[in-house]
Amino acid sequence: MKPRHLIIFFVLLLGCALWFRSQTKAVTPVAEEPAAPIPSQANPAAAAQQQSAFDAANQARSQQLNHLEQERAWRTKAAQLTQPAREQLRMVHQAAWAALISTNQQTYLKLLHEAVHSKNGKVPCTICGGKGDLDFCIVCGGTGKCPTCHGTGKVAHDDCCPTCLGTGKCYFCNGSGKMACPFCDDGIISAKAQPPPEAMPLNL
Amino acid sequence: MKITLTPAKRWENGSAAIFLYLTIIVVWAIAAVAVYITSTSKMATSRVNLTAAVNYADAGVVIAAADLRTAYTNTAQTFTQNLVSGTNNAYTQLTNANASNMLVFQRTISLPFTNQTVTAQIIITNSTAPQTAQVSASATVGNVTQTAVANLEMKFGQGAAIISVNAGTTGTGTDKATAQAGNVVVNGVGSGSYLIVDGGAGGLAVMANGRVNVSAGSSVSSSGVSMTNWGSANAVPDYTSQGTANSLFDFNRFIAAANAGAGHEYTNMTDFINAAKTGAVLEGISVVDLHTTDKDLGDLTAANLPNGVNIRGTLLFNFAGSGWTPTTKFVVNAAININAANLSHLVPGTSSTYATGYPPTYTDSTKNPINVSISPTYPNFQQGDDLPALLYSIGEVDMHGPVNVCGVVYTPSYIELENKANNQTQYIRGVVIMGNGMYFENTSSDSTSIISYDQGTLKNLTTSNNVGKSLFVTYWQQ
Repeated sequence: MKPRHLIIFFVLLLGCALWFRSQTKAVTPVAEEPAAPIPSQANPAAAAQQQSAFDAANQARSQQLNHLEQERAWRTKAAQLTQPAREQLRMVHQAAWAALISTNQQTYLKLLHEAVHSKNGKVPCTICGGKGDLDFCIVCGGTGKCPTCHGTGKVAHDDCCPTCLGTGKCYFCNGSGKMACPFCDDGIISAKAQPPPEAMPLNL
Repeated sequence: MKITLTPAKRWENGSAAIFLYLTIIVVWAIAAVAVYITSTSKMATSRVNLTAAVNYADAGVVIAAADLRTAYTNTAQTFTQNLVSGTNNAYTQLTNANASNMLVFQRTISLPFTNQTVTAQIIITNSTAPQTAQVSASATVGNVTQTAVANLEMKFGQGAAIISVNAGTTGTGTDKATAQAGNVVVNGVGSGSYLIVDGGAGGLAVMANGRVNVSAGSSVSSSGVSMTNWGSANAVPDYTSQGTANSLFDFNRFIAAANAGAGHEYTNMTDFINAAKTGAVLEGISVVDLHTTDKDLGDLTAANLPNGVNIRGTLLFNFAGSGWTPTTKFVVNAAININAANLSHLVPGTSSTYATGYPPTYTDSTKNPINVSISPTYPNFQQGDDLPALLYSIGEVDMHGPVNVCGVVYTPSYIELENKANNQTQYIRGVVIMGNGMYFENTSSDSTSIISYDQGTLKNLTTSNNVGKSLFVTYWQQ
């Protein structure tokens, strides 16, 4: 082999090497950038604190959902007993209801007669003074508190009160201590309206 | 020893050249394969890094948006204070990056990532209740950096014509007692009448934590009803718990604005009736203080107010003092017109004809609540805020007469909207939000009762501490 052949060989080899290098660079034209600092290396204490807060937030969310689910189950269980609980109260207060109806029956019939013969079929209720509610409640005695749980919303073993479903309010007057007038609607006796029921409503 | 170089023979020279060419070809081939393998490997690595960087950047935007939401609705401090004072997610305000009225906040997010950080930036207008924001996040993986950008809009999150937060009961009746127990009852409908709850575009008809009981004949699509959500992940937050951080409105803020000149506070019903009975449109925030001892509570009648109550802005019935309960009521037979719409083309059942009078256009700009200062006691109202049309505290405004209200109707109490006269229209275009149930009735003849959802009335609802608002993505770019 002549020396010039060797020179040509090495020149070509060098050319190949340069071409190879240029091809390698072409694939990664982006300059190398320093990698972002890894938090655990940069500030381990801060990273641990963030991790702890992250876990705590997740746990809090989980507990909140769990609490909601328990509340719902607590209330749903009580709702299944609402009707029998209120029927018991009706048995207790039915006499008072019947007395209220019978006491005002004549007045009501008179007003109903007037309503039927009035121009618009309506007359103001004089039984409640046109207010739509009475100044008392036959179920709670005007306290506004649920007669079963006495306003606590809970019964034995911290169960939800089936009568008021945990609100603590009297279901018959919605806590106002003033029951709705059974003879009218918002203080108006209408010719079209139904007469008050003989049985005390359960308001289910 | 003397070495003598013997001149190569001719055939030997030829062999060397062929060897040289073959060597070049082999070396070139090896180099080409090496380049191919290397470049493929580099591309694969870059692709993996790119994908990871995109994912990290996206996640960074989501985390920053969550931080933004927390800061936006946290009542402890102001919005921007919340951003910079988080225990584990505090942002740094970049003072150099501020434009004239823009604020830029930045933080490096490291969790929940493993060995990776993302730089997040939040750009907002300088306001206690900004209506838009831009969140961006950049992540570098290997030598690939990717940035994700999201434009966000802060607006009221719940969309329904009627929103009831009360847990209600399991009762299925359509009577008033069932409604008073915290449920939503839609009861009707009289001969030739309409009783419609319309979810409109993008809203539900009713969203309730309790039950929604609808009588036959009423126009309430069952698919437009979301009910018995209490105690579930879908529960509507109790926006009506007054005095808590969760309550939607601070009534005292509205009273302060009225007293600052953007309206008037009437200390009893008689004063209000005297102002309203001329038929004049009362602009701004009209506050009516009501006490149980007020002998004129029941005087909002058509006889006393033949032209009705006409408001351009907000009407607030402030049940003051003791003795009020959610069902302690006064009945209104007079027409109530608040930001009244032109209903001359109203066709019940055709939602495209449901006009609106919202937002109000003030003839007296001094009555516009945005033009009075109630700061620092309360945040000032600002341009673009949506103010409610009708508010009342614990007590009941029992509306029996004509109603034409455009805007949000809100009460922590109980609502009765009863169409009690024939050939009468009760129309609410906006949203009705209540805390103790609602009774919506139309048993009259040839009467129309419509509650139609209008997002435009509550998009930028000026709630206390931005309660009820959520972040919605309007634009996302990578």
